[in-house]
Parts: sequence; C-alpha cells; structure tokens
Amino acid sequence: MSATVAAMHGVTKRYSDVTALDDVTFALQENRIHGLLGRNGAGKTTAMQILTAQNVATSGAAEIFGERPYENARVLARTCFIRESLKYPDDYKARHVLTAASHVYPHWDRAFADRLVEEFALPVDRACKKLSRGQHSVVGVIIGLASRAPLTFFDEPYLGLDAVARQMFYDHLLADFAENPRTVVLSTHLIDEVSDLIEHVVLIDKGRVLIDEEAEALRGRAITVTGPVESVERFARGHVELHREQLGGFLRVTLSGVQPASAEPNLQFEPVSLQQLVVRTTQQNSGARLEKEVLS
Amino acid sequence: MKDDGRPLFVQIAEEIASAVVDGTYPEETQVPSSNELAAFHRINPATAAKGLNQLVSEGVLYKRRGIGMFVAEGARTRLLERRREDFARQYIAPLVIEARKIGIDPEQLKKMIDVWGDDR
Amino acid sequence: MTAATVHPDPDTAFSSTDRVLAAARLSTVALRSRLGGAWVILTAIFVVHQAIWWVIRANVGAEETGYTGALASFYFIVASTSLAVMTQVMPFALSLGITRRHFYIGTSLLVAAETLFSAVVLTLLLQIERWTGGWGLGVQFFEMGFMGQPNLFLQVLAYWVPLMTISFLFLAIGAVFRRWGQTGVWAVCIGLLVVVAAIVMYLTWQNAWLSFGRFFVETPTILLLAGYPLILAALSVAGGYLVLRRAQP
Repeated sequence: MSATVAAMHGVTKRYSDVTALDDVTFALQENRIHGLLGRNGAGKTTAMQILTAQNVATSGAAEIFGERPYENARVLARTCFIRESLKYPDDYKARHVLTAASHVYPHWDRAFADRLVEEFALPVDRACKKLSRGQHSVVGVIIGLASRAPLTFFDEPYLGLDAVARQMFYDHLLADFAENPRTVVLSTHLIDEVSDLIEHVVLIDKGRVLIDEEAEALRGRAITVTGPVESVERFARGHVELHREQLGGFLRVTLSGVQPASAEPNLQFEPVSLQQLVVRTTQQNSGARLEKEVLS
Repeated sequence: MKDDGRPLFVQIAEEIASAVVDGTYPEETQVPSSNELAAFHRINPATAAKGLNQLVSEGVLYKRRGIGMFVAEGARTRLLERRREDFARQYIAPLVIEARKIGIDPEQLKKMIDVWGDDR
Repeated sequence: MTAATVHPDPDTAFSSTDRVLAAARLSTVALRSRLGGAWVILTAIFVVHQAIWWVIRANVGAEETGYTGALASFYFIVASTSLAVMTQVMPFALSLGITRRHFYIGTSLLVAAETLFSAVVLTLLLQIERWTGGWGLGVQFFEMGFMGQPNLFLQVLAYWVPLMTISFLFLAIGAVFRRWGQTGVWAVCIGLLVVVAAIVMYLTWQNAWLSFGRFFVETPTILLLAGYPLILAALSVAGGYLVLRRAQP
C-alpha cells in the first residue's frame, strides 16, 4: 500500500447560503491516477482548491505531503492546479504563459512542452484573450503535463477540447505517467472516457463523499437485471437497489453487490459501467434516502 | 477494454494467455511490458502490471530483472489444460442441463455431436 | 488501515529566494508588452507636445517655457500596470503553487526595480533636455519646475519614489480587488476620499491652511518627493499584503 500524499479530514466548507463540502474525508496515495467524480457544482473544485490552499476550509483539516497547505511554499511548490476557469493574463501570449510556468517548476520538461505545443497545434504567439476555448484548455493541459509536479490536479481542464484532443491528452498523460510516475488527480464528469485510466474513485455529490474505492472493485460491483416483474423482484429481494425502471410487465433493476445467477433463465444480466454506476448512485442520493452508505 | 464487468487486469491476463495458447508468444519469448500494454489499451499502467503479475503467480510468465516478462516453460500446456477444464464447466455442463430440459439424454446428445461434428 | 504519509523529499527542496524570483519572473515574461506600452504612450505624448510647442513658438515667439503634466500621466499608466499584475497574474501564480507571500514580495521587488530603471531613464532624458536647451525650443517636458533637484542622484530619487509609491498603492488596490472584488475597490476609494475630505475639513476648521502651505514651501522638495511618500509606500505594501493573505484567486 503506497503512502498518502494528500488527505482531507472532516472538511466542511460553508458559504453564507450554501454548504459546498460537508464533512469530507478521503486520502489519496502517491503515484496513482485518482478520479474525482461528480456533477457540476458537487464540490470537486472546492475540494481541490482547499487542498491547494487557494481556498480555506470552514472546519476540518486538509493536508498535502503531510503538512497544512496554506501559504506553505515547501509543499505547494510540488503542486500544480489546472482548471478550466483559470484566466491567464489577457495580454500575455501563449508562449509567455508557458515560459512563466517553466520558471516556476524545477522539473519542467521543455522538450515535452514543445512536442505538446506542436501536437496540439497551439498558436503560441497569440494573446491569451484571443485564444479559443479549446486552445485555452490546451495551454492548461500542457502546463499540467510538462510541469512534472509531483502532485498535479486537473480540474476538468479539457472542457474546450474535442474528442480527438481529449484522447491525445489521455494518451500523453498515460505515457508520461508510466515513464515519470507522479500523483494525478483528475476531476471530470466524462467518466466513460477516463474509467480505464483511473485507479481510485472518489465520488462527491452535494458536498458529500458517496464513493471512495478502487476503480477495479467498482467494475462489476453492480449489475442490471431485466425480466418479468415477478422474477426480477424475487431476485432483487434483500439486495441494495440503485435504480429501477418499469415498462409494462418488464422490470429493470440495478443492483449492487450481486453476481449474475446463471440458473435464472428468465432474467437478463448486464454489467454496469463505471459511468452508469456513478450516475445511478448520484441519482439515488438525490432521492430522499436517509442512509449514508449507498453501496454495501 | 471490454465493459463486461470483469476487472481490467483479468482481461489483460487473459489476452496474454490466449496469445500464449495460440502460439503468438512461444516459450521463452518476451511479452509486451506493462507500459506498452497500458499505452496500447489506454489503461492505467498499474492495472496492466497487475495483469502481468497475475500471470507470473500462475506460472505462465516469469520476470527477468531489468529486461522484462517472458513466457515460462510448459506454460502453454498448463494453460491448455486449464482451458479444457473451463470449457467443460462453461459449455458442457449447461449443454447437458439444457438438453435434458427439452428431453435429450446424454446418449442422444453424443449422437447429435457426431452429426454436427461431421458437417464441419 | 493507515498508510504512511509522503513528506516533501529534501532533494528537490528549493529556497524562498527561488520562489520569490520565480514569482517576479511571472511578470517579466511579458515585459515588453507591459511596460513598453507606457513608454510608447510617453513618446507619443512627447512628440505631440513638441509639435504643439513648435507651432506655438513659430507663431508667438520665445516667451513662456512650456511645461505640462505629461509626466504625471506617464506615472499613472505605469502604476496601472501594477494593478494588472495583481488582478491578472496573481491567480495564475497561485495555481502554479506560489504562495501569496512570495508573490507579493517578488512583485513588490520587481516594481521597485522597474520604477528605479524608469527613474534613471527619465533623469537621462532630463539631462538631454537641459543640454539641448529644451529640445531646441526652450520647452520643458521632463523638468519638474520648482521640484527639480540639484544633483543627479537626488533627481533619480525624486523621479523614483513617487512612481514607486503610486505603483505600490495600485498593487494594494489590486489586492483589495482580489479579496473583495469590485465592491471592495469602490469601498476603499470612497474611504480614501472620506479621509481626504476629513483632513480638508479639519484644516479648514483649524484655520490651518496657512501653516499647511508654509509646510509645503519650507520643507525641502526632496523630502516631499522622496521622503514622506515612503511612508505611504510602506503603508501600501503592508496593507496590501495583509489584504492579500486571505484572498482567493
């Protein structure tokens, strides 16, 4: 079990009218790719901002590299936080931004950055305020990748990128991660695209942690059972139900912690992808459920 | 990778194992590294490594320090044997059960297999 | 099941100096576009100014010496670039892992150095102006009138400190913007106006305008330009830093 590089202990963040994070606790091990999943506004960005000292918790403690991050140059120097909403100085050209970042990170890989600029076709001499949304995201992606910061956060940095560019980002991330291991935290709602990349999943919804598990354990955790209403109900009894849909005499139920039973001829079993699992879990959380434990 | 609910590392292991069985990787040849597999399948390198390590623990591969993973001696034979057992469990058992449901006993089943086997 | 915690590995430790320097370099990468603009505007004003006075001289003859406050506008343009650094570069710096403290120190040092450089250039231009007898037209552009200094060293100080002070003030206002947004800036500006109004009312009430005026006349100009403003500069730096400490990008 590798060491913890970042952790939140009972962190709550309250604004005057809303609670962004509610008693959030999780730990991230080093040199793994972590997925911070959740809907827009769930609290993922707030969590990452608190971990990188851009924001301060109302209560609870956050730590990176074993220390409190606030105004702590020693640990913050090892982090990089790329988010889509980050604005670069308007009149800076794209290459100014990259050069500036290169001054900050001692492990900056100039050759890697140049290669990425070429592959993503970034117009380096264009002023940042004139960059398209996709190009703006590319700048962030290049900084995040070339920085080689031991703890790198990507907060949906690829929202402006098309599917091809996103795939390039994932490929480069994987390749660089394999050669130069570091801790990567990827926050996204495009779960299908990253489900094979991430090793550890933390799902946040409405400021609470719903899932905090290994990605592998979640694959195959849930199944969908379809068939005649009675047979399905019989099979589903006693198991944790995440979702149900009914059409006439047919019922489809998503169950957690169950294995398909080959002895049941009427029933059709389908695996549930990570994305579907996350969606169902989140939907269930929105319903008026009192239990805190959603998955058994 | 396939979304059939099986862990990714299992899929990796099975893919390499199949390649050993069909002769793509003869004994004592090197198989792709975990980084290569990860890049090719677009999955996390740790997952690919886990798949390879699974095969090492099953005796299908062995590690040469500093070089990589190689197919172990007798791996193919072992794998074929295991596949035969799996085949029986996966196909023969349900076949017999299914046949019985519609009134075919094992003797008739054998005759049917001969007929269908000849047609190939 | 508790895992060990990763601590920052000492091999890649870097000093505060590195971080402060890195923070400053965030602003220097686009130096040309930032400060260059101010000098271009100054040159433009200068050219226009010369043209106007050349026309006047041609028609009216050598009478009054020209003196405009063009320099003042240069000062404020330079200072406004400090504002831009705080409002635009600071969020970027924070996402790269630079602390607010290092950013403020680095930027303040950079501003001090840049304004010193500007002051040296202005002094040189002033010398040229004097040697050419007002650019051949008896015109005073860089001359500070009764505020001119007897020697070059003091002249540099006389240009430098006010420029630096206004820039520090704008940095502090930028910090206010980062912390409390537009509303905060309005509040601070109104607050300053209230303070100025209070001082004016006090002086009027105490019939102290005469002594106020006498103070200005009797104090050596170098103290007025490079002495007392330092107090304001220090207050700006301290205040701006305290405000920035809790700012979110």
